[in-house]
Amino acid sequence: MDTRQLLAKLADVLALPPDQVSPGTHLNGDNWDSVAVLATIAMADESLGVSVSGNRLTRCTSVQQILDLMEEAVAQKQ
Amino acid sequence: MGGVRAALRATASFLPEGRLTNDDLASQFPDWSAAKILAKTGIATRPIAAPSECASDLGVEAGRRLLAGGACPPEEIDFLLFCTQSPDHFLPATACLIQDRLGLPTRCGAIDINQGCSGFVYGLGLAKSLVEAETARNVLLITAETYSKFIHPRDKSARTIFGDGAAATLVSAVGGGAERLGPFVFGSDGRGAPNLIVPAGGMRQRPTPENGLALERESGNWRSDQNLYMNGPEIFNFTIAAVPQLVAKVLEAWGRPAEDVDYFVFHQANRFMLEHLRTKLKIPTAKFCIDMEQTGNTVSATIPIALERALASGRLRSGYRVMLVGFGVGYSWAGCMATL
Repeated sequence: MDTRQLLAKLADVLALPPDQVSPGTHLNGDNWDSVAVLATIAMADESLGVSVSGNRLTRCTSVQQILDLMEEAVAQKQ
Repeated sequence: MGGVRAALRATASFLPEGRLTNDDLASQFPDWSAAKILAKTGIATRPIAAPSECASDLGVEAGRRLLAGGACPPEEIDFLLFCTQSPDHFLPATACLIQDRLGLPTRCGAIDINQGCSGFVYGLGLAKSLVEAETARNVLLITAETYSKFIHPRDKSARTIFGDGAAATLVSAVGGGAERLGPFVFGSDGRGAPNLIVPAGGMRQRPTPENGLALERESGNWRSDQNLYMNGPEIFNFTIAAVPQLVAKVLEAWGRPAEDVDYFVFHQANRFMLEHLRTKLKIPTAKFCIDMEQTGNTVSATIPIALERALASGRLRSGYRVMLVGFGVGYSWAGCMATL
């Protein structure tokens, strides 16, 4: 799954229009709550077959940081 | 094993009268709306025990309902298992208080088991062992929980998820023949203990003014170390790793494919988690129980409450082969097959 597809799925998780989600998108209390973190864990499990640390996800402040965590999880799996 | 088989004979639940609705939550936490809470959790309202109402009180009411239904005369109950993590006292065992209040005979064994979301399946496993070892013929398993008493009023995450409730379940000897309750698969991983815990109040950290002081923590939730803490994302990670393996092991022990299971009743943790597990396990919607809108997560009582409701609604019928799966605090997990 490439970055563009992951961004589309993250837009769904964050309940934002796809064209408003890029690696630089800032995460805040409005779009990055505990339910969004759960949805991201579910998306990583479903789409990539990996487990992403909930504690580290919770601390993310940008979409890029989420993508980095997913990339790291995929690398660890391989 | 001799000729005796154990079977799950009847279940009856009891919910306290108090309710915490989404409107109540939305009025206390103005950044949430009632509709948003329902959409995100699948929970509309949660039964909440009154300040003077303990797990024993809920358990006794559930037990009275079960016995009033005629499943077994009280004098023929010869073992009581009471599962809770919010007992009335450190000692005596709450099960002894319940034995007296339900009018069970003094020859009845009575013990507490401390387990959470997996507690019902653990209790069934113990009940089966007592029956099939011919130590007891009728085991009353009561699971009752009042987590609301542990939760800080300003912890919106935990208050949104948990409800209080109880269920009484009868496991009895039914003669020989095919296995009616089992096989069972159990598991534990105490490395997850810090992710769902009430840290202070027991012997490791006695209650003090300091550990009773509430502070603002993650996501704007307030709590002290005497309150319940749940790391939702890490619990979710544990669940999506552990539960599919557990289901596979139960099927392997049972020796039949998933298609032969008539109905799946998992611990009703939250709708989002259950939907993810159902999809991951490729279980058809019609065979998978999600029923927590009126109760929330009542911990060890969710599975029997859901079973009773499914039987009452006709989604479950006598003779159905049901897989029961509990998982959570500990970490602890257990799964089994039951023929109703």
